[in-house]
Amino acid sequence: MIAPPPQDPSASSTRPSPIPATAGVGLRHPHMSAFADGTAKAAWIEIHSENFFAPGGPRMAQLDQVRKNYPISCHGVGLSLGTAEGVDEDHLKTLRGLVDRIDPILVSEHLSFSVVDGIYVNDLLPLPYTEEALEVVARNVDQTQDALGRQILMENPSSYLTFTDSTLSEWNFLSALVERTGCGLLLDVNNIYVSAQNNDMDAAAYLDGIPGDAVQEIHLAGHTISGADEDRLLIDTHGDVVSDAVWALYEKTLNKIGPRPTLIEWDTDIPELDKLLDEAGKARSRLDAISSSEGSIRVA
Amino acid sequence: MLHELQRNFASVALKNITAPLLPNIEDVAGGKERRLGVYHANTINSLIEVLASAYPVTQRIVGERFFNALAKSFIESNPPQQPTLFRYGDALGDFLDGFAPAQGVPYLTDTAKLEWARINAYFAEDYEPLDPQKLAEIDPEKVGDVCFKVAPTLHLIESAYPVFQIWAVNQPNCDDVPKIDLTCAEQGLVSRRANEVFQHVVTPGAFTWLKTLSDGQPLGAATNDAMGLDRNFDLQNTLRQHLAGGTFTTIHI
Amino acid sequence: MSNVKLNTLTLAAAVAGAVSMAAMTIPSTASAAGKEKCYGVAKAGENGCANAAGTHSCAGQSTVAFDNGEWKLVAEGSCVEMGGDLKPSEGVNEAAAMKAG
Repeated sequence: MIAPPPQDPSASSTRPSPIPATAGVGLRHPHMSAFADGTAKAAWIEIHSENFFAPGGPRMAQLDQVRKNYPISCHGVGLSLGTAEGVDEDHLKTLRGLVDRIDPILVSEHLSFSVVDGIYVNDLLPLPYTEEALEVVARNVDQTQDALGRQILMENPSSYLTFTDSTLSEWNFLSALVERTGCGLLLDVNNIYVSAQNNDMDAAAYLDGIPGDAVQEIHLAGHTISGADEDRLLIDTHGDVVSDAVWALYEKTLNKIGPRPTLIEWDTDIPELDKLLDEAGKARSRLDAISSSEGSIRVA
Repeated sequence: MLHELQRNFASVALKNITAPLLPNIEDVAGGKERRLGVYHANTINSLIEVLASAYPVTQRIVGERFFNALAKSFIESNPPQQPTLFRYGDALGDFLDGFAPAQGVPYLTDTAKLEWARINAYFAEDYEPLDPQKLAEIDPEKVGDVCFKVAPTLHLIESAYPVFQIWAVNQPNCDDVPKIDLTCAEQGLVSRRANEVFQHVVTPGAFTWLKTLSDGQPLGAATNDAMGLDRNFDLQNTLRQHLAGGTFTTIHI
Repeated sequence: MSNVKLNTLTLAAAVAGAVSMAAMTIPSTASAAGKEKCYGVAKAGENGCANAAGTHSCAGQSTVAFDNGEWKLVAEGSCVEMGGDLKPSEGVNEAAAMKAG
């Protein structure tokens, strides 16, 4: 399979500067006006692409305003790149329109499926990590990158179960996907933690196993612990501050792969903007710490 | 193989049909059912939330518990056919029409349709309102033959119930729901001018006039229809209001 | 014939009148805008990637047994007050069991 061509340097000079390795936040409905008028102090923001698929109207007008004030990353939740049915061409076309409209710094999607027999199951459903699934996802990612004319990042899912027929670990699956398609990775550290806890997966092996150079963005979010003892499950609610354990795993990740643009996602029980930006601040201080220590190593 | 698994998994997520469908899930302490239940609960809860966001008035009318139950029933028979969720739920009004538990609230269908019209108006494409001067350029002899293209945001709503009043008294800032005469039929429109979604009732004559025009009939025919229904139909004033309100985008003969 | 002519004239006069007045009218959405602020625009459904399973009191799991003949679900919202002009026996106010399933 063919990797997307490297970006034409003359074209990239008209693009917004790439996201520096700093902290951003997900743009959510209650905070829209603070971003539209530019008063929110955030280095960059991320939208859920499908929420901006309208042909017109106030939401799109607001997005144009937001775009004037912040670099934007487009995070898709509806392409269903794991679906055995192939990618919906209309959906791709609309996404292309959005990408052309706001010229995002990054475009990402999930390693999961949602569409079956034309029905959209509103969840990021897990894939078995098999050669067949790898072929399906690689084909869909290729098609998406071709249609958008740019690289996309694939995000690791949070999961509540695993399949007996998986032949690859999640990190090996992602590594192979990167190799076959030239896609990048969006590493969700909270998802690694949630899946590791739920499925007895080794988070350290995960960090060792993924190609660090392919990681262009990191996600952090809060999760919810549901049940106790053998019923204990971590649910990926994005409804709280980032847990201490996830901060620790984040620090390990930065130590391993270096600083990366990091996004705080908060989707349920959405707090006041200040509280959300505080979380971003916590990520930023860790990024700053790792950047300065890297710098001093280089100097030394 | 993969397709079959995905079909089965989707059935689990949407309908909670479990055990025999997915034999290839790793055994875990606490049981597979609980794990699959997380996907089912997320799928249904998130879609209920989507519908509640689109239909706050409908929800307020029947209460949260009833709404959750009717939403679940709707989701089972009308799962999303595409991933853009601000478009999901358009069929709820028609669904309520045949939903026996809601028969005691006969105005629910029309209320839901009014709510959906607002969503549609909100997300519809932007448009340029008709420049009234274009009408002035028409040969007066041919004015009756002029056809109007209506704004993509325009929705005409007709109900045997006072849906516009019902909607208004069920806003979050309206704590005392006054008694309203439910035998009073209402006709009106929903649209969007720039970024503002608005709605208002219109007279029966004006409604007929708008309906005929939006069906592509010329001004003469529309005016005749309106006057046939309401002898006092005031064309000049009605047209002025709709020119100012951005109801039309272009004209042709 | 003269009737048609009269209609055309009336129509033309009304249109001319409307156009000249529309030109003077400063399109005002003030009243609509005011209302909009009060009411707010419906949020509409949104796409997201968080898991809602842990955040609700099992909204989706409080099953009402519609299919077991429990047709008369009690609506508990504002319809109870608004329904004053309807016959209460239509089911709205009629207590019926809603079973959690």
